[in-house]
Amino acid sequence: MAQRILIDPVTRIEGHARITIHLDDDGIVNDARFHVTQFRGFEKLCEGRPFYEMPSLMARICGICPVSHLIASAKACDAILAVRIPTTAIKLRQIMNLAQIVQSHALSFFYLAAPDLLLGMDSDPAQRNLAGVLQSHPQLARDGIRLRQFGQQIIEWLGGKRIHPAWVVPGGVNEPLTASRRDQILATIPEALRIIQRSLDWFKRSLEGYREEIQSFANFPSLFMGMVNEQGGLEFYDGYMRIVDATGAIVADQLDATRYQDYVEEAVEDWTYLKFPYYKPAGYPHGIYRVGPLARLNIADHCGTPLADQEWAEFRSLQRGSVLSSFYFHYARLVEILFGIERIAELLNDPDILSDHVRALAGPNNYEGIGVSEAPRGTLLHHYQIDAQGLITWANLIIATGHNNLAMNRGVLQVARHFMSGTAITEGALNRVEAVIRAFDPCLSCSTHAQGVLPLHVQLLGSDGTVLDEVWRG
Amino acid sequence: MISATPATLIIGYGNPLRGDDGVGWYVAQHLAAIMPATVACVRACHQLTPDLAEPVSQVRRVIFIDADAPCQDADAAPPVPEYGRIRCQRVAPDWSAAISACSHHLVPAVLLMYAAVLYGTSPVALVLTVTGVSCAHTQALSPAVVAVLPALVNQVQMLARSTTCEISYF
Repeated sequence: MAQRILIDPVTRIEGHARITIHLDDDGIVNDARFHVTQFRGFEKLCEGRPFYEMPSLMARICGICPVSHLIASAKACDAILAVRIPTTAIKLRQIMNLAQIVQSHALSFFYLAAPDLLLGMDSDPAQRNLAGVLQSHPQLARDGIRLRQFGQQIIEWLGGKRIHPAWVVPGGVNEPLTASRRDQILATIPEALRIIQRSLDWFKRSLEGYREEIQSFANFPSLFMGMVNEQGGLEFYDGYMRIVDATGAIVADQLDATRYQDYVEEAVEDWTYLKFPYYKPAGYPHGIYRVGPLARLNIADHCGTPLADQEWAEFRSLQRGSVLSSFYFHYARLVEILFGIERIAELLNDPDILSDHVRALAGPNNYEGIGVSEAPRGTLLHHYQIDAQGLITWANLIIATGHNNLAMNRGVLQVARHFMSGTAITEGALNRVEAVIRAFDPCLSCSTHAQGVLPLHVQLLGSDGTVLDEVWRG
Repeated sequence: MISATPATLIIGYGNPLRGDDGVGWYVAQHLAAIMPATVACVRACHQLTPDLAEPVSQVRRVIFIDADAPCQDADAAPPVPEYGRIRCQRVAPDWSAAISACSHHLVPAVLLMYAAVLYGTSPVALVLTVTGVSCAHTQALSPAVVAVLPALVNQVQMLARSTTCEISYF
């Protein structure tokens, strides 16, 4: 009898989702779906609001990555103003964006993924949580806390508060950097570098223990998309879009990020609120692509800072062509943290970083604006249209997690097929189905997610909907 | 990352967009403006997070300020005379609470446990709560809570300035 396994909710991710796994009459997995069960509606909420409110308003989408929305939204508003913002403002925005990359990646790796990585995919779920990590690996937990502090402290020093700072505004930033603040931030760099290098060393040594997860966690050919700078290096703030394939060959390059509609289209399915962006020339669903840390390291020719370049080269040597296993998102996150710390130091040492000229003032000069940046989880697009009064008439947001939707669904199916059958559904198999999603670090919203005893609900349903078996946890 | 660490850390937490839930946040904002940095370090947060374990471990005493539940429904208990009541309780590290913790709902006992496990020390800790009337979508505190703010601020200041870690409960 055909059966359906339901994992609801998926835990240790940002937001609300559930997974269903469909088994055929022989108990073999024949389909799996990752359902995003929440609806935010920010595109509608903002209609009628003055465009200059958008950065602060859009930052409320998330408490983990509000800076990403600030940046992309402010860039869309810059385009509406039709101004070139001061170079110092660009650098200051870059520093805040990188600080957020560091803190968000640290949250994903040390708080959300570490229980699986340190305690084991098959370990007791009562122990497989942050408290368990603290108890068993206190140094690594301290390192995670420190790295997150590093990023959040920089955001607070620049923007006045750690979550939803109002410092990034249309036309630039609203306050220049002082010399004392710059020196304060620079003083924190050496410790942050030591921590991330220590973490990278540990993770690389431990990779051998995850051979099966590496093999099965969304490990398939796909396209990879992200932003690169003019030199082809890793870029988070402004640059060209590049798309590479599984062999590492460049499929499309020097794409204008603001012309995303030329090459990205979104499909809709009736079983989830998250849309399915795909690479338009390849069609749906063949135009599956991935974004985020793994994609960025795959598309870039280098990182652009000394230590990160060394790590990038080692990372890319994992596989000929693109690195395909999504388990390596974790690894890529650590490399990007290293890059972020190094790049923040470089930007702070720039001669004009203390310039007072940090904002360009103008009224609306365009009826439309598009802002694109690289968020922790991938490419983030904000697209607004306004009326003659400067009020928002239409908005479209493509959030990084959305780009990965096709890949996450395919990843769940791959893991389910590898680890599950209808006759034996183990705790470890269930956890791996969730863990493949965690590898993408989806940010479905800044909503509650348990990190203690997992509130897992698994149902075995017959083809007629009868509950054949049911397990509650948490 | 506190540079010159005073003996006392005050953490007021809550959501200022949700009515009385934000009382701890508001009081911390106020205290940060009026209390000398040599007396206490004051932090206003939307919620407790594991990152606070380190600063908590660096002081002799930590004072948490929070809204007291239930305040979700003005029609429900507690009865009217309880609204705005200030309570002070001592709290200790609790590992059992840590095991069942949710990352979006960290309680002082768990944060103290994190400090103890990660940094080897946990300070004397007090939790001051104010019984709220409503946690509806508003940035305004209820009149009952507003009325006790001077008393709450005074009590926190008194505790922060006391030279001993012994406490009087009220």
